[in-house]
Amino acid sequence: MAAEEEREMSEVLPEEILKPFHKMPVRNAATVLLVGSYGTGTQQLAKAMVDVCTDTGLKLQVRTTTSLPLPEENADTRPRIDYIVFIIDLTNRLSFSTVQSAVQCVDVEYFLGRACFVVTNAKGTSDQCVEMEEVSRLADMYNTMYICGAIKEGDQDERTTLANRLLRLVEVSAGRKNVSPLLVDLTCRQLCFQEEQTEFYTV
Amino acid sequence: MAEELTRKLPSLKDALSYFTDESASTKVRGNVKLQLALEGVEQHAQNKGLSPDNILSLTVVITRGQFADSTNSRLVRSLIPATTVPEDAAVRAISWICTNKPSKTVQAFLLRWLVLVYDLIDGKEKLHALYGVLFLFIQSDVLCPHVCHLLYLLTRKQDVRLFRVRTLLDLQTRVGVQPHLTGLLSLYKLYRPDLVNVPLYKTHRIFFKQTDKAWAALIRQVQLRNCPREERDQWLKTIQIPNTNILNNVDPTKEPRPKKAKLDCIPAIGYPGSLDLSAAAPSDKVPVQLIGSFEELLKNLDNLEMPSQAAAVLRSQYLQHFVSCHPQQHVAHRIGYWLYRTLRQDLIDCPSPSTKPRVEKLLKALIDFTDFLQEGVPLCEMFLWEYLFTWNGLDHRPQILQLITRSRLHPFQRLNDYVLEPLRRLYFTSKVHCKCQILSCLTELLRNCVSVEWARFKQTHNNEDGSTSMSLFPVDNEMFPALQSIQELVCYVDRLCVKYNVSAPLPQHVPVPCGHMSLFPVDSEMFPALQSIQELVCNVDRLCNIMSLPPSPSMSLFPVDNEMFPALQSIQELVCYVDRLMSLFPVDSEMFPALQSIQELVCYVDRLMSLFPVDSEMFPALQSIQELVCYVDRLMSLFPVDSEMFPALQSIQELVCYVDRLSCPCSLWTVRCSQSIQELVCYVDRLCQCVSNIVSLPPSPSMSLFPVDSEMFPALQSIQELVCYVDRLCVVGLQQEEGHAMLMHYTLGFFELATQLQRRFDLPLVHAPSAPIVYMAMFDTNALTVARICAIMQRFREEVTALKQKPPQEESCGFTSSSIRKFNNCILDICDALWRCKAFSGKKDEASIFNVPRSLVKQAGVDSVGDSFSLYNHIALQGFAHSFLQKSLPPGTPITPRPRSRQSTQDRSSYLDFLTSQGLEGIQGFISSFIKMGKSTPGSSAPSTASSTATSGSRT
Repeated sequence: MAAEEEREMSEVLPEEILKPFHKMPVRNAATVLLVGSYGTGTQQLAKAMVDVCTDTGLKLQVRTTTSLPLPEENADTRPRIDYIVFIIDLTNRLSFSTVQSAVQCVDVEYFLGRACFVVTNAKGTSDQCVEMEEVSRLADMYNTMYICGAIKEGDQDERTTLANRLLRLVEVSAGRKNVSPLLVDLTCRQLCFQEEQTEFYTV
Repeated sequence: MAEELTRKLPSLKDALSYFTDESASTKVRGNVKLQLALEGVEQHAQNKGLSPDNILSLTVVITRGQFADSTNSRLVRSLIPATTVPEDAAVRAISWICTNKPSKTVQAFLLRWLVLVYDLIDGKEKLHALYGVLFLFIQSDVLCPHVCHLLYLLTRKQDVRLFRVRTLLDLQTRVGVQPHLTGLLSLYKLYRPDLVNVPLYKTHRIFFKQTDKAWAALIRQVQLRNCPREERDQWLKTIQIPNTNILNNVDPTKEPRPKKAKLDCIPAIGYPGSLDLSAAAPSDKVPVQLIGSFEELLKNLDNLEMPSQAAAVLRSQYLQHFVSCHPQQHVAHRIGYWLYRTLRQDLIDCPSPSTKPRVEKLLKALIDFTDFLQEGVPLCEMFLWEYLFTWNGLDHRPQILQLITRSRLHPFQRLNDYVLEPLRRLYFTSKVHCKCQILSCLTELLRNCVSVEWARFKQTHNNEDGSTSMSLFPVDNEMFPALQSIQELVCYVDRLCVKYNVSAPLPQHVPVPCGHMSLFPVDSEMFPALQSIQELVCNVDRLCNIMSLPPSPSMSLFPVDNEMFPALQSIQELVCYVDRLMSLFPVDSEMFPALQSIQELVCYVDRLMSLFPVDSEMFPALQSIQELVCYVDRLMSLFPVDSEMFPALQSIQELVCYVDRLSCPCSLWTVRCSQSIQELVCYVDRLCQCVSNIVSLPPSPSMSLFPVDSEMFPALQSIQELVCYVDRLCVVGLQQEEGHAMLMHYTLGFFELATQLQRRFDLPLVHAPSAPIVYMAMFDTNALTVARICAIMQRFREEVTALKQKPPQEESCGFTSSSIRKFNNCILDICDALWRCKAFSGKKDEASIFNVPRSLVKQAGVDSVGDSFSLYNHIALQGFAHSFLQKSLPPGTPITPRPRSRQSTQDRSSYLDFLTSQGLEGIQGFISSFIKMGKSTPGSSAPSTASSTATSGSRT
């Protein structure tokens, strides 16, 4: 399994890898990239995110794609991607394999708090074809958090909640909160260098 | 022609007399008289209904079999009761069915009639006695549906027998799945799930089709007409419920059953079908529905019947008391399993918006239950772990968070992976309000860990280390042969006597004890020998007094008779309990409102101990005392922590009454029977007191209703890691929310709990808030925040000193020299800022927050920058300083604080007093504990004792 991944990794050309710090950030603006295959509701989620963003003063751009790497054209005019959201629909096997191949085209910097997985249809085990364990294993492998939620119509509340939660993460990674994404990530596990940690925070 | 007839209709009396007349013609065709009489009866019945007497006489007519079937059918149809139906009529009808003389039609008619008027029959005992007879009719295809319906109405729990279940199942295999058979079977399954272990598909909820709608409507109308007006409203209410629905017979004001079942998945407590008082009599168990008050519960504590579905415990407070004071493994398992399965099904496997209300209800009931027990249900915890794995952070959030707080102690890694990590994800992705919810959840989790779970953990481990006595107590309810055990005891006492009689001056009238030894095995009848027992007891008693009973032989008393052991144990525990209570509650403490009753209980138990008479019939009661003691023990061990939260405290006084009552029968029995046993047990009692003085008692049996295999792990460390973890969350969360006041409030709330672990909960663990939190709170614009963080710092110092005074334990943890150094830095900085007005000025340690290059400070261009965080100038305290100066300065002078060099100690202390009076006592406490008030001249700055005081808290 690991060997296979490495082989696939080698197929991704270095210039195709999406990197967060290749472009300059824009003040009070953030760009989110939603990665999800057809039918995962990327458009609805993007709309919901833009809707909930209106009163925060942040200029939010949400871009969607069904696969990575992003195409060559418009690469220059494309703004810096602050945050990447991978959408996995547990009832859709394709969405999972799309994400599996997409994460390999993303620079490791993104996985330090600038990316997350969104898992939909996690409730009700009857019609799932992707095991939740697979997803959590993937998330653990990339040391990235996952959020369960719902996007489809009929779950207005849940979609808004999900959009709000994502927005918080985007705001952190766009530098609008006083913390950096890495700092949030640091709270995750038990740290062995706990003694030094306090100095870390008092900056 | 017809008009003519109606005009000539005979009165009811005449019509009846026609039927009762033996010599009347029974011919149907062309018999005008018969027709007229029939129509007369019918019309009267349909208008006004028949009185019970009329019904009885008509039933007699029908059961005589004198008339033709068609006549009989019409007569049955017109048996419409005006008020009630006499039971004899029903019994007669059934006996007529049994003769097999009438045709199937008439039989079916009679059965249908019985089903319809079932609720109106004035007594059901005789009818119920015919249960077995009626059951035979299910073999008849025509009668089966009606019989099943009638049986459904009649069935009580004791009717459900294996052979009946078998017959029904055989029938079902023969005729296929029929709704009426399924109905009866499902009722059986409700009563005795152990007997009916076939799956029943409840696709159709209506088991019995109402075939006689017109007839039923007629009966209802007649009843309605005969009702007095005031009863009519009540009646109308009941009428909405299908009158054949047995499950609603008891409480007609409730909603109809099917609707309720949809809204509420907690099983009902019981089956009102067996609720008649007379029905409860044959089995001496009392169903819980009859219990209406706590007193009644106490009266029936010994013979309370558990509902057939254990999860019904969630419904009733009384059952919860019962389960809690009488822990039974299988009940606990069933509750846990049911909860797990139901929650999993409704929340994980197939959640849907329609089930939300009922899940909410269930979760609330579960929270109440765990709050009552002060203990989480282990299987629910497993469910929570699974649920949190895919939780969206929105569904049932308050309930889920509340359930988390009842978590047991786990190794931190497990807690982190299953619970804290999902919470952390939610924490950092949600708004400040939700952050506060999570923080308060974590605070409560810590509180639960240190107050309840820690004690439980320690106790289970002590038990494992300590004794094998746990295995001696399979607290079983069965009656053991008490006489035998007494006999054994006597034998033992006898042996004791033999051992010591060398030095004992024996009473004259007692023969040599060895003689008794030979007497008992021969004479198995104990009661003739009672006299000699008494003498024996007197003998041994004196023996004990003289020899003051060395410990070793009395120790060997317990292995001698295991049967006797529960009783002894309970006495022993009472002793130990009184001791414990005495030490726990000094008389003068007035903190708890319930203390009065506890003291009463103590006194009472004490009194009971002195004159505890026991007889052989009392042993079950003794066991229940033992359980009671365990129960009170549980209450007590939980009590000191959360005095206000605990719901059961009021009932302790009632427990006293119960114990009181238990002792009453003893005295009765004593009068009635021989005194010797009483004395014997008195002796045992005294023996026990000796023993309890000598040996340290084993701890009371498990504190937990849900015993789980306890595992060894460093629990203390786990708690410490939890505290550190929450600390980190607070730091980052506060930074993210820019020190939001609400989040700050919850953070400080957490640390207020975390800094009293040592003194209040007796955990060898101290934890200071990390520096970012201290500084963020210190320079907050909210005065209360400043005061609270000061109080927390002061508390931490007290914790450390208290811990140091204790004998050093290897497992105490929480502070190292480096953490103390950091803490001292914080204290120095706060002192510099608040009191000594030396912020940014003077020589600063490298770790100090004020360690800023001087050039930078100058660039800021603030005059007397060192003063800017002083008690008068601190932004949070400026308002207070203003109002203080307004009061204290002579009128007319400008309101500015004097410069530090001209302030007197007097001024400062009165200002501190003022702050305290405004509710900011934390500041004064902080200053007084960390700074020695200068005795020198008022102008000089306070001596720099802060550092010395602070470092005194450190430990090498």
